[in-house]
Amino acid sequence: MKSSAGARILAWVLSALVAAAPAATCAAADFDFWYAHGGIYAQAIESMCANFNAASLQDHVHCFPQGTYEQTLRKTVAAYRAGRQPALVEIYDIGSADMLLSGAVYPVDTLMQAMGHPIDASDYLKGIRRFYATENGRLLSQPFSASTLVLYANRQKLTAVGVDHLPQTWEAFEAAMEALHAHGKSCPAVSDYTPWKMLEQINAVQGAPIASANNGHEGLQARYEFADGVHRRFMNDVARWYSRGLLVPAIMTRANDQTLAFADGECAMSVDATGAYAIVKKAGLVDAEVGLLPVYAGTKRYGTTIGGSSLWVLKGQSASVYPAVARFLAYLHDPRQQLMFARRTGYLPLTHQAEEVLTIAPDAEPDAIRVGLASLELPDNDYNAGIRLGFTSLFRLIWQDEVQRALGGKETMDAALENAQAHGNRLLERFQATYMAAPQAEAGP
Amino acid sequence: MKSSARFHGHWIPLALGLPQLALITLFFYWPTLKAFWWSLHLVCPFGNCSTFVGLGNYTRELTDSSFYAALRTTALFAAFGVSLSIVVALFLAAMVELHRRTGGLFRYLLIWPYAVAGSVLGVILKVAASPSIGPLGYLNTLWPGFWQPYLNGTQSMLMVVFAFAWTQIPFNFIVFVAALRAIPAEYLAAAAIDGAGPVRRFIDIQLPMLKPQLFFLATINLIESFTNSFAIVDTMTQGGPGGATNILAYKIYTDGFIGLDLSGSSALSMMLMLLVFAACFVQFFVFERRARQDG
Amino acid sequence: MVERHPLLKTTILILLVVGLVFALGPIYLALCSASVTSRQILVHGLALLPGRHLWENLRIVLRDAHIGTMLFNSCVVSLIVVTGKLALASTSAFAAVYFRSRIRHVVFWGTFVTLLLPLEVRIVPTYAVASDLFEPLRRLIAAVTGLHLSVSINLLDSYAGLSLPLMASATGTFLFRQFYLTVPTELSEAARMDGAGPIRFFIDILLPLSKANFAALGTIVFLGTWKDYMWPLVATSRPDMRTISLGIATFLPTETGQPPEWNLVMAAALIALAPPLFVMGVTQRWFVRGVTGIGK
Repeated sequence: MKSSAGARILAWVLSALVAAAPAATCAAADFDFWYAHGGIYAQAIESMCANFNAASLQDHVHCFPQGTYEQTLRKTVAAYRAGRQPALVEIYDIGSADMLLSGAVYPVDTLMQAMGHPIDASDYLKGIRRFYATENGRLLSQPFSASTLVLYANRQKLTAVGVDHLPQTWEAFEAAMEALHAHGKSCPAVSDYTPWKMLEQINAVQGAPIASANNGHEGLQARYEFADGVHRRFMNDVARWYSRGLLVPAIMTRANDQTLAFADGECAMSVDATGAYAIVKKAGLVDAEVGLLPVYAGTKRYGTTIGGSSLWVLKGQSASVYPAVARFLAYLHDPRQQLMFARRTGYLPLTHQAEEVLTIAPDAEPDAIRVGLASLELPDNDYNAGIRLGFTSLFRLIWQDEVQRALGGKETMDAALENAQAHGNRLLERFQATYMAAPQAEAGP
Repeated sequence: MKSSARFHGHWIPLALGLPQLALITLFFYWPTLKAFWWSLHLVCPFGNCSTFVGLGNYTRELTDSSFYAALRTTALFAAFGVSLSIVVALFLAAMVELHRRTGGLFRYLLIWPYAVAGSVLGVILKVAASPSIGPLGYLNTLWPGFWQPYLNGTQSMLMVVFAFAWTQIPFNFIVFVAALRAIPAEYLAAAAIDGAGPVRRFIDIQLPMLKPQLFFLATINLIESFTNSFAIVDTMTQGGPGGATNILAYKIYTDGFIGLDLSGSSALSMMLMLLVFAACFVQFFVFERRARQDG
Repeated sequence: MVERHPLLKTTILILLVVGLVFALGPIYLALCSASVTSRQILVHGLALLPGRHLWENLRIVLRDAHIGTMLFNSCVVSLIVVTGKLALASTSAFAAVYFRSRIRHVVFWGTFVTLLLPLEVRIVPTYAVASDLFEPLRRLIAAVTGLHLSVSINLLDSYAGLSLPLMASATGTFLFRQFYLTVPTELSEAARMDGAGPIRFFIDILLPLSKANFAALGTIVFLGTWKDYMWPLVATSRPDMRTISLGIATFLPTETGQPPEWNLVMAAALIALAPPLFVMGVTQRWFVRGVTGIGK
């Protein structure tokens, strides 16, 4: 009969339509995201996870804190070896080399392209993109948290000793410290004497190389080259400032911490990360002024580089998980999420879209982020894309040991830098030898 | 033990010993084997490569100045830490034995430090040694810039040696007290009648009879200085300043867990194992030989 | 002492008091600073005399959820290790001493080797093993049958992971072996003649005799496990699985942006000290006996 035939045809058509619908949009997927923060940063990440889960009908992300950056990386290694790795993990900036060579990674750009959420690498701010991109401009991980280096100064203390402008050159910086010192201030400037600030950022802003092969971006044949040039000049200046009591080490302050020593007014100037502004504001320092990192007078100022972390997708998950991961990454990429994260943590917004939203509402924008973004926009050369070198965590410890010995008078600063460079190169040689036999990273899951 | 006192059978001793052996195989032999394997290869942390390099890792460490720096630091730390803990414990034990009446109270109290974890001691001493808020900061008002343990390598070594000795003294003290008690009172009485004072008696009678304990404690303390000092170093100085307190155990931890250098830290582990083994070997055979000579 | 010279006695007393000052000094300093306000420490430095805020500071610290959890974790782990070690030590030492079978040599020497190589020295591969416990068996199965299983057991951030590696050592077995060698052989001879099996002998005769040894070893192991720092450091990363000796090193009860409150840090140190000090105080007799037993 007509109606029953028609009903059968309708039923057949409907079932065909249902069967043809893409499986991805119907499949619910759970996956794990490992992140590496505590305190207010963890709270911001947890609320992003909760919002994503609430808004999504089909996906559920389980967000687990894993401790510090080092702990997160080694747990990822252990989990991967056991076949129990999470789908998404936050790895710090200097772990990028290890991740790229691990053979464990499903490149983010491939994933997003395949799942229908293509992300253009040029969306990202220049300094951030250049840090994480490969030689051919691909982003294999998604940048997550970023900060750069700026100058903090206590305006009231500076004007009290006759310094009217925020120092923009190291010469002016030294003059300001001398003025403060002459007026009896016990802490003209404070520093924690770490290599991210004193080597990586200073060399970036001065456009000077830290290592050959574009600071390691071009391959494992890179070797350190910082011992001559601007770094030597800077560190000799630092040694002089240390011995004259102008640049006080953070452990010698009452607060025992660089950011706190500036935030509670103990020290007048501090060269610190943009993220420190959150702490300065929380401590209620009203006279804080933020400016660009100083350079040497008469030299060209380049863009600074970044520090922070990025998100890596790992292989070995079931196929239904990856679409959900892609959706989560697209969610995090959204300017609103970036800005919420930036406001709560003091990290920089990552994409041009987010930056534009920020400039529309200037009063909601902290000084440090504005200055940091400006600093990243400055011109580039081959050497300010940050470093991509093996065993960087160990190298940083070596640099610190050598510099401490030099400051303690056990060797000259020049010798210390030469030693650090030689040690660093041995590490790089070994890193290269280790990965010579490794199969190259493939592009799929 | 006479064979008539022993039981027959194979299955029961096997069953009784198996749990312990299984645990030891899993958490001792297997990791040691792994470390040995890794020390002979260049290993990618994620497991996607491993290249056999024979003794390459060892020769690299042995030609690395930072290895020798860590070795020197470990040797200094061990030498001073062990001597200090043994000398002070021996001194206190001798004092307590001389003053039997009130000795009981002192014996009871002097053991309490054993309950304090290295990390807790580290936290307390870190604050106590702080140049800005600790009592030693007063030294800086007399001689500005004098007490800077976080910038001065010698002072930071002093701090960790003191902390380490403090944790070892209770154990040594107990052993010495028991050993001194075991010396027959007649020997000491006879020597006193002959006119020997307490110092003479100590040197001539008590000290020689303590030789086994001295050897034993030296070995135990030495092994502890290689290994159990980690908590103190990690909470107080993190190997600094300038690597002045970067003992081998700390370097192994840093290389392996922070640098993800499985090959290098395994080679170091193997070398540290050899050191520990050598220390035990010396104690065992030197002591055994002396015991056979003396007894 | 034989002499009755008062000057000598006084000198010795003074020296002993000095020793006591050093021995109890850090605990005293912690007590003083834990009983003052944070502001006093920042302004006047570490307190050298006790103040009046001890209970207040202790209350604030105990309210911190982590401290309670960490204390609980330390208790659980220490008790697991004590139970495990006592059971394993007594049984494996029994196997090593009271049997004719050559298996006893395997048991003894197999466990003896661990005395030479402490955990800290092999920490990196032990971590790798704990994160993937099934690996050796998986490899064995794959090598023998070609079958690749995907089973893996991760012991990190768990009580099993915190306690099992600490039980894989021979100190207890050694102690019990020494003790069993001092037990009169007539006892086991008599038991054998009566037709009693080894298990019967162990439970009815040997165990009751070993009570003091259990107490001694138990105390030493409890304190040693409580104080352990390096293994919990690498085996845990979740804040709620840390032990108190580990957590105390990074305990900073402050808001971001405020200078650290040292009085609370010291109060937390006291809390970390209290349980082992209490255990030490109560069981000191057995503890001393255990140590002198090791020293022999």
